[in-house]
Amino acid sequence: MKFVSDVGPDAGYGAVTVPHLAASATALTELAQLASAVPGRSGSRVLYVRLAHFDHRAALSLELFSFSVLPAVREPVVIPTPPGLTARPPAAGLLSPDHSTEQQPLTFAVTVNHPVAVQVEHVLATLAMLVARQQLTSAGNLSVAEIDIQADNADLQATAAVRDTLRSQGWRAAARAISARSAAAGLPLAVTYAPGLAGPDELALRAPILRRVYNEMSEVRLAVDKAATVLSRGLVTIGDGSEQVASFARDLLDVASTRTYLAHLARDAFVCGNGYLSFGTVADEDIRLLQPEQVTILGTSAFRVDDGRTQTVHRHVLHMTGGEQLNSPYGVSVLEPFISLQLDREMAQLIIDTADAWTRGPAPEQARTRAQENVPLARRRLEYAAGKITATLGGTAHLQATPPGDLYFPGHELMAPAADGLTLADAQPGATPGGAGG
Amino acid sequence: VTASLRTEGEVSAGRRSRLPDLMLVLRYWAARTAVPVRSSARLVAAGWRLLARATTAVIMLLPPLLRAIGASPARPGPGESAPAPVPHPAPSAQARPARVTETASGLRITDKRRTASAQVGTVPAPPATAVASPQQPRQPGPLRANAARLFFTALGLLIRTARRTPLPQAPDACLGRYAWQRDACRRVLRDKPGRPGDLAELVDLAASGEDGDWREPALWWVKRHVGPAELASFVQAELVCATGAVPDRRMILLLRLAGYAAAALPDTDARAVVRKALTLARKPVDPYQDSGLPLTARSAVTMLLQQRPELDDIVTRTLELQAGQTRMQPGQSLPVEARLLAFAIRNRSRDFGAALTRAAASARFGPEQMEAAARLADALIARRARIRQDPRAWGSAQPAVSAASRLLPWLAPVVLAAAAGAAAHLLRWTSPPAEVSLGDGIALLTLLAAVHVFTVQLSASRLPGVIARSAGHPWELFLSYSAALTLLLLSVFRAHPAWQPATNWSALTALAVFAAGMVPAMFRLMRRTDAGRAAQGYVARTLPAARAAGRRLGKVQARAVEMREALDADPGVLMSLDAFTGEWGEAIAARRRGFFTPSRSGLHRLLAGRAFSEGMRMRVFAGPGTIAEAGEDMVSLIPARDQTVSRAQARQARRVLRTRSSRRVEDVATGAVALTQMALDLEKAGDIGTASTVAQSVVHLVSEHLAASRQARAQAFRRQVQRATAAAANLPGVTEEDDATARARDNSPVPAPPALRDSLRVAVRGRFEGSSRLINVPAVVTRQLMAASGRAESAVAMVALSVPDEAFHAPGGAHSAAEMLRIAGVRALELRDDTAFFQVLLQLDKLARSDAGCTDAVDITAMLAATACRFNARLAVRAADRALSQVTEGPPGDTAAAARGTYLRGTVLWRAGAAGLACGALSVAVHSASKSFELQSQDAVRALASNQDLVTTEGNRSALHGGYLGDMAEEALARFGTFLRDIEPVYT
Repeated sequence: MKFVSDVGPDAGYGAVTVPHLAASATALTELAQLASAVPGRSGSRVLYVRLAHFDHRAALSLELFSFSVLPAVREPVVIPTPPGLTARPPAAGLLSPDHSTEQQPLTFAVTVNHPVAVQVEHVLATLAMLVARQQLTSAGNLSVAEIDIQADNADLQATAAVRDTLRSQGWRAAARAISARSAAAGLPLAVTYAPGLAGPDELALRAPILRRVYNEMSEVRLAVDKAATVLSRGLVTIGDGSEQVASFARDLLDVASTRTYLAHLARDAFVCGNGYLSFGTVADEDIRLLQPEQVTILGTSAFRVDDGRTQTVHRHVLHMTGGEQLNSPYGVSVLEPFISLQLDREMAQLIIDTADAWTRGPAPEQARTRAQENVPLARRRLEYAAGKITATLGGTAHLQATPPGDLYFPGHELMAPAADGLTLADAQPGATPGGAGG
Repeated sequence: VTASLRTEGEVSAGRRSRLPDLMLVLRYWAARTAVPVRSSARLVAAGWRLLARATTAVIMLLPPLLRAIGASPARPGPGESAPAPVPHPAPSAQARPARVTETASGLRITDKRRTASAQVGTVPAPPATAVASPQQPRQPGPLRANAARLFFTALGLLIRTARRTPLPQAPDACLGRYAWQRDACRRVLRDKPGRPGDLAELVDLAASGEDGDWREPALWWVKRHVGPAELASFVQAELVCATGAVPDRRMILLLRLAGYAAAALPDTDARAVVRKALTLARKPVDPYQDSGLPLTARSAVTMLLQQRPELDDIVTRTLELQAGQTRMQPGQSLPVEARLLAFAIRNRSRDFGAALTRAAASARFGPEQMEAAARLADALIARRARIRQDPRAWGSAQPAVSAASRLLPWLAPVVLAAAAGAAAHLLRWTSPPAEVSLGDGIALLTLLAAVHVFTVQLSASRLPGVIARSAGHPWELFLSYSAALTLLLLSVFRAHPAWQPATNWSALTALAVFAAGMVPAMFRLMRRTDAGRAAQGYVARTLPAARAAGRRLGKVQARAVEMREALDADPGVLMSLDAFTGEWGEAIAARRRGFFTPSRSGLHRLLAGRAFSEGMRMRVFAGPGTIAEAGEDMVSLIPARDQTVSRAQARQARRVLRTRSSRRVEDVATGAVALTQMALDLEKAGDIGTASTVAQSVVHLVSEHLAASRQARAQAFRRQVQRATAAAANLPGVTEEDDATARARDNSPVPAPPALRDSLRVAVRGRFEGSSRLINVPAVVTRQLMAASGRAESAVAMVALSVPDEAFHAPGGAHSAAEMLRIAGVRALELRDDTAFFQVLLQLDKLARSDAGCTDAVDITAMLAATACRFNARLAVRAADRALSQVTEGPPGDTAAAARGTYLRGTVLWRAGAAGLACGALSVAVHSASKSFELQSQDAVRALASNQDLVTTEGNRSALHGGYLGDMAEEALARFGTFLRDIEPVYT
């Protein structure tokens, strides 16, 4: 989406430098202060939002400016099975934006690589859209079957207002306007900025969810596999000394299956946020991967693995991160933007399956009618998700690489352990805070 | 820029403070001073390590001495019991320790015979050192035990500090104890040759893993000190003839030893080892668990196959047994055996794909499996790109020597005259017979000026002005000028009578120096009317200035990269390619021509001003580091709706957004262009020798200029990294990776050096106007200038884009264009610059679309594909495909065009395939074969490969164009036909 800044064909995407980071942190901190509003009237519902930085290192579309991150809940959620459908195993729960609290705010991850002006404009637009949508749902005159169309209209109006203010009065005025609008609507914003996106506990909780995204979304899987192919098979040996030494390095990569390990490592890094490849004492013999959710980083060269029974400290570990987050040695998954899309897809699919089952089997007429009314919405959501997946993947989906059949070790083509499903959950005491980075 | 001087404290507080700025500056300077301190610390550490090494060596000599005088080495380590005997899962035959039996009467009988290898499985024996201490040491007291522990820990620490070999992963006390008590361990740690029994003992120790991990030092020592014959008999006894189950850890070690002894193993043993290892290699690998055994087994098989091609039949037979009745289907994975064979092939001497085609036939590969196997068998290893750097006569002292040599002609006459005067005065010489008057001095100066002007005019009538100007200044002339001026001064000066003789002697000396300078200067000036010498003289004279200009350019380039990032980071700055016509704003123009390099601190102050925080924005449309013309708009200040740009703000912006003189850098460019043009003109006139001399001069000048800029740029980047690191100390999330990114920036494009850009442009254009000889001046200049530049300077893109479009359509021009693009493409491959390589291919595609250039384009693209086989197989495949797509069919019914198309396609496939076979890029050869069958060109290719005349011609062309077919060009060309025949079952 283009606002005021002319970002060019690469969306202004560039390398992150210290001055850039500092400038971005300064701007977002100021924006958070300006956009926050004081609850002006009784009965106001505060919208807690946290801004955080994210660097996907060009693994996703260069036009991915920001996305929302729903906090995961610790306990699996048992989904009531609609009559006529087979029972489903407990799913991993994600906290709905309506249930955001000061401890569990809704997090907006802002891609740090874009020019700061672009970051600011997109955060402003996202906040404006959040207020507009919450205003829409609070109004009570919502038609469920057309909820997406109404939400799109609200988004359009909100972004148009932001664009106008940006053009005429600058971003600070736009932030003040959003703050005033949210206070007037009884939905005051409480915006904070913290550079980090997720701590180790949160990352461990999200790992099975992210593996499900990888396993279930074939487009995403292909893109990750392509990236893993490029990173593992694309490694070439360049020699300057004797040819023997160069061939030794090359053979170490191939004969000892190091390339395959590197492909697994890259997949772990992209999907779970962190991949750990331990080389041990004798690199071509002790090489093995560490399960990302079991690893605690003790320092630059020490990684503790806790598998529930024993704790082992590994050294000589290659740690690879998928996306980068500030203020943390842990990386974050580049599949984070796809979690909400997968959730959308699963919920839409449930609507369609329910309507199908109730159309084929016996069901009360009113329930069947209501279920069928929602089917077009579900289909639109599926279509939207498909388009959004392609758009979010960007260039990675078009990498000139064909994942070979033996990219991963046989039997490990899909990732495990993965969640059995995704669903929205209410706030739970056991849920972890939205991110430890703050 | 604004942000670099802000720290986290400011970020959270949202206000500016001076203290963090001061801290940042202090941190930056601390980081800079840390560099020399670090090198001193390294020196101290090296000294300490030497001392520790000597001490360790002395201590390690003690145990044998103690044993010789009767005290067991186990005792002085006092009080500690000897290391427990290592579990001995499979006994060792080779170098087996002697067995000692003690009779009832107390008599010790030592059996020194070697146990036969067939019997070893049943007779366990303890390690040598355990045997060497016959009595169980008595239990030590606690004090003695603690002292022993302390001693061993200290020894272990000492060994670790003084390490000269890989060390075991073991606690210090354990390391010290083993070093003290075990001879074999001591020999490993001292890197000394072994004795009988050491190999078995070390293998046992490494396989047990109880007292630390000894695998790495043991294997390292085995590789250095155990001969292949000893290893072969050990492997025979322990691995081939082993009857019981061998634990995994021991099996891994034995397989490694089998790999080391691959060449020495008897045939039957080698076959047995391969079979055993293949069985283990087929085990599945769980990446999240330890899988050392299958991985090591695969490695052992590869090593054996690599050194013993006669063992291939085991693999091919296994593949035959696994193969189905039909060809393998797409999606079927490659058998492990085929993968291991492919890995082994690439380290063998070239067999032109014979082993791979045999395996393909045995396993009934489909096309997909064939391509996968070929990719694994690719043997190419690219070299790092070399950037030409001319040797300097005085090394790093060259700048000082250059400066001194420029000053010397001016100082020498003064010094000599003063010395002569002083000598005359001290030695009380009388006045010389002749005196030099004021009129004489003026006459000499006039004569000198006349000669100078005359020769310069003579030069200027033959040479470009910029060259003539510099060529007319030999150092002898300055010597004469200085002598004449000294003479003039002495004539004017009225000395004290006591000093008069000395003054006269000084004047006479100055006159002699004048004469000594004048005559050679005249000769040299006359010689420099010749173009070659004038060019050399020009370069010799301007080289120091060119280097200085290069250093300045490098700094400007580094600052431009930093400035661009900083401008990107500020929300108040908009970057665009050009000014927006009619935009409501105040344009800031350049005061004078020069590099656009805004002041960092000034820009910081400007953007931190109130106007910008209230909505003003700045649109920058001049590229940082590029040359802006005087009066040209560079930036515009765009006020918010309720703002105006005050005069003070505009003045401040003009002051901050400054330009810096680019005169020196442009002088180098002017000289380089003049020399290049002179070389082209000389070549056109037929004076090839002088043209080559001038061409060498221009290359020397530009490459020195570029080298200086590269060096200054790298230094400036390092400073930027230090500054960024200082700023990042309080900024979370900024790690060393960012520093690495900064260091790697020299790969990202920087503003083009004018000297390189302009001289390349002239050379490339000159190619289309000059001679069409194979070796021509433009090609030489272009090639050598590109060799002097790296990726950052984007020379390849400059050449590719300098080729004029109109040349594509002229018959002679198309050939020249293709040749220039070939030079650019080869350099792109050397630099591993894929983007630039594809730019070249794109230009070749354009050339192929013209009638005149189609054949040349296909020919050169195929040549580039063949050359790419040495650098990157993927690029070679892409280039070969591009060459095929450039071949046009011609109108339907035109049989001549169709035949020409078939021939061209055949040539492309033949050339790329043969290059693939010659360079070990088997995937390119297989791709070419696959395309041959796909395009039904296999017969054409075979015909080409069997035609000896064509083979010879193509081999000669390869030799003339960088040897893209290697040193066995003709054999490779002929063998591609055979390869095509052998691989046919895969594709038909």
